[in-house]
Amino acid sequence: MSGLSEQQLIERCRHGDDEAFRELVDQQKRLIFALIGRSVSNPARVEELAQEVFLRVYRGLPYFRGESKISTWVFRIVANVIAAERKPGLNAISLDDPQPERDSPPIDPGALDRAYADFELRDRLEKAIERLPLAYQMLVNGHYLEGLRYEDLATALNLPMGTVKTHLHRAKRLLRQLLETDLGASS
Amino acid sequence: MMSCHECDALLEAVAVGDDVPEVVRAHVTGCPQCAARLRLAQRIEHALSSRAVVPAPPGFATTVLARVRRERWRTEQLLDWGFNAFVGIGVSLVILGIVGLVYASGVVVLSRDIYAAFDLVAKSATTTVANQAPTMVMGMLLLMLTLGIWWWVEQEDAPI
Repeated sequence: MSGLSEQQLIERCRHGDDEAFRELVDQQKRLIFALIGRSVSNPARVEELAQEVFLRVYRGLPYFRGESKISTWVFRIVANVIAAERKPGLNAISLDDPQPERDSPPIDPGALDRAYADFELRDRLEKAIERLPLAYQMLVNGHYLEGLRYEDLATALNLPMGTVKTHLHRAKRLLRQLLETDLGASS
Repeated sequence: MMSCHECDALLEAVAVGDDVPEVVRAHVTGCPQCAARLRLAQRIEHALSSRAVVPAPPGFATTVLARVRRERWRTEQLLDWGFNAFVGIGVSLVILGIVGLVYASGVVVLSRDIYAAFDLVAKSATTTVANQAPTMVMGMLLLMLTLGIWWWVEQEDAPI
């Protein structure tokens, strides 16, 4: 069955072929777990949300027209599921918000123990990503995954190709500014 | 002369190695603040590209398939219930039609003997059926519609 094209696989899934759907799950689960795992802080919720995504995929198969890659469509479903999962009270930064205050000088981690500094940076980075606007968060989470190209991100997020790269730079700049403020405040 | 603010907007492009004007690199070289920011941007870039990927647990596809089957079963149950309800309504209408026919023909009044009743029904059927025909036809149509839906659903579910 692994020799089937994406369209053939979808056709078989539509006709209730469970083995075809199993293959679809096996093909897409890495992407879905990676995206959800990077977007949801509670590890216990990751599998539940991944299952929810696949149920939505199953329900949506009759309506999938095959105009985009299935991974692009799945990415969009993941974005919707994560948006629904986001806590309403989360202190997310709006795209219209002014940039964080940058009175404190940037921190040079060279003086700190490198390994600990990296660990701390990763921890703070995860928290900062959670505070990003959803579109930025999905871009940052999706961009570094194998198999997702700029084109896929653009289609999934309904953005022009050129905008994706600009938004990605802006998202990372926002992350840097959040970390500068955060690290500056904690030092 | 580039300002720190202008330079700041391009640090992420520098960090990933995109083409940026030489003036940006020159500014970073001469500005300790922007150099520190660039180092942070590079560390963020590295951290983002090496983030751990949560693996799917073993047997995940089987779990998903079980949920899908449960959902499909629920949908089929709902269809079955709907089908049964339609059949029930259809049969009820047919029975009502027959009962109406029997009352209209006066069979119940004339005799409690079932054989006599059938005899009378047979005699008066040609004249009285016409009065009850719409009800019976409606009942039959509903029954056929239900059977049609059932056949269609079975066709949809048939494996390829």
